Amino acid sequence: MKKAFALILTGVLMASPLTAFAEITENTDPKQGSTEITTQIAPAYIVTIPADTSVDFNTVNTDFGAVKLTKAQLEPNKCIKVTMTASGEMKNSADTSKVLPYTIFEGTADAVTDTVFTSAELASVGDKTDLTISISADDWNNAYAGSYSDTVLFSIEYADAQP
Amino acid sequence: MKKFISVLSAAAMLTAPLTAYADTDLSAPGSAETNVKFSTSAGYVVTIPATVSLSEVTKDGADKGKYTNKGTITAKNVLLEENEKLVVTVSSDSGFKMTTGASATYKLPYTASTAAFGAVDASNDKVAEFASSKDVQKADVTFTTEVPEYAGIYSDTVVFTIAVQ
Repeated sequence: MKKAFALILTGVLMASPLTAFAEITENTDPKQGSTEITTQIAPAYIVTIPADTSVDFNTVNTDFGAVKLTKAQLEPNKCIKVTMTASGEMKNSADTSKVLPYTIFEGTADAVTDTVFTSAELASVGDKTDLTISISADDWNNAYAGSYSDTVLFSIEYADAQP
Repeated sequence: MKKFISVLSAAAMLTAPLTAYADTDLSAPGSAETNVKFSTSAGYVVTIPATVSLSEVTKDGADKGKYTNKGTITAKNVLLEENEKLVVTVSSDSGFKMTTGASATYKLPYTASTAAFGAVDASNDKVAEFASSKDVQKADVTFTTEVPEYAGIYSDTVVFTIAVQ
């Protein structure tokens, strides 16, 4: 019985929290004690991606908005990597075998670049990449009548920033 | 002869002073004073927290997004001379800036403040003052960061110094 009691007491003692303070008395020298201030800040971010966009008939370049980092608390040397996956073909709603090719370039419609957008690394609030949907004049001319649509997929990844 | 010597010895012992005594003759009516003196040195036990872990302020307001928490300083058995006080000050070698490590370039500023003495700065490092008392006395020190720019595990060390003033 004594043994059982001792074991229980040991268990209670082990479960007790350790002393979580420093004690300073008139005999302490120096009369100082240190406290560690800590906090853990989890990564947090908000990325905005383009909304649904309508492309007017025969328009070569149409603004597709931007991928943008609107809020971010990232670890140093980390970034948000936004990767886009797109088929590159809008499909006719009446006959999906009829397609209208398109390309998404970086830049606004007024200042579109030759860089095809595939991904972007955003590290600071406000970082963004403008996007433009481009359909060539030839493709417009060769397209069947009807409405076309496609869905592009944006994937967000918390990644190491490239040096 | 032996008996005579021993009687003399006993008489000598009886006339020898046994203890120190006041030199006032109280055989006649009157009064006398005795000074009673003792001294006691200052004593106290002050406890400070080993760690203070800060949590995010999620409530809407000016502090939203900052990280904060209180650390309590406790003083007990404080015995001081009259008009003396036990003063607790705080300092930080980093200038109250937390980091994620020695190699980190970003530093997260934070403040230490109390309701009684306000924010600690270059002209004020006092965070608590305790008077002589048998009661347990407590003072809260609030640590609050700025809104951090980067995620990570941050830490810094502050030093509390006790002085009788």
